[in-house]
Amino acid sequence: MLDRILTEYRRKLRLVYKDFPLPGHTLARPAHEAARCAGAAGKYWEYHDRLFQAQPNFERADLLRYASDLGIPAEPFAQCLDGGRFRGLVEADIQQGRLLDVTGTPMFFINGQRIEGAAPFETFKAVIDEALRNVR
Amino acid sequence: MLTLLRPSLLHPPEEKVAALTRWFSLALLGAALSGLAPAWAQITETEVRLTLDPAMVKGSPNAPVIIVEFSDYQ
Repeated sequence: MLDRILTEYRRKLRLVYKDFPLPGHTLARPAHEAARCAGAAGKYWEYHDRLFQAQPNFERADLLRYASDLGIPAEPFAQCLDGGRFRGLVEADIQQGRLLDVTGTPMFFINGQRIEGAAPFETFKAVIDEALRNVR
Repeated sequence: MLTLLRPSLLHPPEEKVAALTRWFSLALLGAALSGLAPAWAQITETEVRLTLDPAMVKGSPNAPVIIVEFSDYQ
């Protein structure tokens, strides 16, 4: 969905991704931390896409294998994940989401306009078009 | 750093605070949105500052529209 939106609007959009692992999803938080570790190796979006394809297989061995599949050096990645290098930043995203009353995912803010859940393309298009009119 | 605005109620007088439950606050927020709330319960907007990881951003840096997505992998 977002890829279609980014393609359609090209230079008019910027996407900012924020971690919001839900409390009941016990394997989600390490997956979010792993994605940031992949980001430190320059492969954030590749790893991000891999995680969505691999849901819900997020055991440690899975996370390490996905990194290896993407050519991310194994040892620094494992150290990053096991050492919780990005634990604080994932937690910071969660806290910022809570301040914005995010309780479920996905949750979008388009120039501040909230869209809850997996809305259809037309909903995003309407809000983006309105936002573009407002900035002209 | 990115800033988003969170609609919320102005602080009511202190003597009313104790009587406000979360649900009552939400009802007042709804009333304020429809213009039916008391003057002390008018809507204000609170700034929420968001940290950005450059690795987790894509699209044009000069784009006029920014989509912030909060998401869960599981």
